[in-house]
Amino acid sequence: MPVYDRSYRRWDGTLKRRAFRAAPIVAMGVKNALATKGGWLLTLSLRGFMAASCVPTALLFLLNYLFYFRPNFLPVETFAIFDQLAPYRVIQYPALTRLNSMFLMVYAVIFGSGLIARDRASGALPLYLSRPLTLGDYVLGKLGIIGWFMAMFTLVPNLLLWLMGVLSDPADGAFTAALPHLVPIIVQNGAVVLVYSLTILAVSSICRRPMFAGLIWFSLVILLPSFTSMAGSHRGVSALAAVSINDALFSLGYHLYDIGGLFEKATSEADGAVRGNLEGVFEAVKIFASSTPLQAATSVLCWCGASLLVIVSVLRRQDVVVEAGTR
Amino acid sequence: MTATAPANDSAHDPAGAPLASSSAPVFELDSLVVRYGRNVVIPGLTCAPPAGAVGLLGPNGAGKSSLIKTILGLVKPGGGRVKVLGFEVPRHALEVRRRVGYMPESAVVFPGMTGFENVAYAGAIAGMPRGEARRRAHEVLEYVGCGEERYRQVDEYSQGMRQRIKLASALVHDPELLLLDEPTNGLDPGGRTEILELVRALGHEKGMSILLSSHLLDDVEFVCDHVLLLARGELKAAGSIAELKARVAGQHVRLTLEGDSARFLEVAREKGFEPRLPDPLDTSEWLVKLPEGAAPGAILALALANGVRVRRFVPRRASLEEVFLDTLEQAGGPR
Repeated sequence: MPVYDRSYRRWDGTLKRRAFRAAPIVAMGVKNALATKGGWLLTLSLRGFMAASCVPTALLFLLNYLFYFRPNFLPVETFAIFDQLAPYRVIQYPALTRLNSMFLMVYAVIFGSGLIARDRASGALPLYLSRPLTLGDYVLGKLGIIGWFMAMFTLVPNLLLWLMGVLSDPADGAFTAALPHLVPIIVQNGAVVLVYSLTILAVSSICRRPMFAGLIWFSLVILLPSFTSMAGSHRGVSALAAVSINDALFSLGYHLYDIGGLFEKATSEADGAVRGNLEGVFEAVKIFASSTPLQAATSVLCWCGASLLVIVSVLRRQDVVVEAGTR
Repeated sequence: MTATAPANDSAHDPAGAPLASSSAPVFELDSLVVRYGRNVVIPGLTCAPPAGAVGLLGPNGAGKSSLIKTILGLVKPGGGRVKVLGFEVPRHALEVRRRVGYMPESAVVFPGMTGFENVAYAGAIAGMPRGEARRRAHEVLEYVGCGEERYRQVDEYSQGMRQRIKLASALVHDPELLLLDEPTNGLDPGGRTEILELVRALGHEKGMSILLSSHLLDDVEFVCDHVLLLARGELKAAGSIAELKARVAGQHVRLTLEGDSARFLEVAREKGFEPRLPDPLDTSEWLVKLPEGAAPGAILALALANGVRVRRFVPRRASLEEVFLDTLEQAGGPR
């Protein structure tokens, strides 16, 4: 029979000094979120939803494959349409962001609403802060978890789509031509990731129950565009629309990709059938994108700043993180 | 005013030996002031307890938890200096936290994880490499007596299991100083003894310094060699438990008297002795507090001089509880 030494043994290893101290929080948070918990029905639903959320990206990949590789089974006339669409293919990026944003909102609620709320409810904050972590590291860690999910469903698919285009395009100078698209892709999707992540964390920090946090955030994102649009048109103040998170983010994309310019170009240059198809896409990309670039950028910055302010001030008021003169 | 942080990367000092084994104080407080808004919790505390197992005693609101939070750098002092393991706090709070294990009072664990994940996670955020943290988590869970339960979700744990997980999480990175806030809360008698024995072994056999805050004086007496007694944020007593007990015990003697002792007791009171009946039903057994500087034999001599027969004369052995109550009484009692 084996005999095990169960007495306490000193650890002779060395503690790492990580440049990004929040890395273990992110790694554990993502792993935990993806772990199978809560019964088979819930797991199956989540997996099903995740599969469904990949559909827009998969469809665009398929379209790009058809566009670049032109397989034999396609009718030859289609190729002529592809050639006409080529100058406008940049529109696929904001379109994909917009399609994915519907799934993102659900992901934000599922994975983000409990991130701080659960720690607050269980009082786990002192456990984090009794380790070599600052409050900033804690917030960064939580931001990293939700940011990872947000990026996986907006930034990464867009970047992969861009990469596919660059690698598959047989034209000379394809890379140079596609390079300017990288900036709006990163800026718009980066803004989506940042604003969605920070706002859901802010709501999570003020609630102790994830369900309430989810409901509040969902109402904020879904109801605000309709409300601000209505109020804006009623009062004749166009800037009011920029208060809405989604309006600001979609407007940012609209201006960054110069959708208005592309639309004018399509109106004057494209054939009737092609123009008809493009108009539909342009109109879809234009919905809830009524702010000016300045209004949109200001709104994005304000949402980020206000969310950070809420998170930090709420957490600093917790019993564990008090400084002289603050309680 | 600020000390230079020792430049060592490991959890131990450069020589490899844990600091706790040295005779240097684990932490030094110099006129520490802690206040929350206008409420001053610690008005100016100065102490430097030696390495080893130190008990932190005091009634509710004495400032015990605030002191622990200050040592961890979670509460910024309103004045004075705090040095922990040679590091100035809060300036080098992160360095201190790398070397300190903290077991909070509440039954709090990282939610949504298994017991094992909790401990490994605690190690990882302390800076341990992932694989090492997992290996070490098994080791400390074994030590605190967590068997297969370690793979269950912590949300399903009993209070006792949570205490074990908390202790394992505090130990996972092998700290030099272990801060324990009411570690036996919610434990059954068997579990309590088990945990106390583990903690005692850490302090006495493994050279780890321990600061144990508890309202259970038996726990402190079992684990610690030294105590700090706080009341209203002020240090009312500090020293080794044996010394403190001897000091209180040396002030009292138990006398069993025979015959009419009324006259003798009157004279004794006049001379500054304080006799009282511990048991009102037994009028022969007296507990006499000696005046400052008087030898225990003085009361015996007085009894003989007054013709009273003393059947039993026992200098009293004090418990930590008596030290605690006596000190608080001298300090004007708990608020």
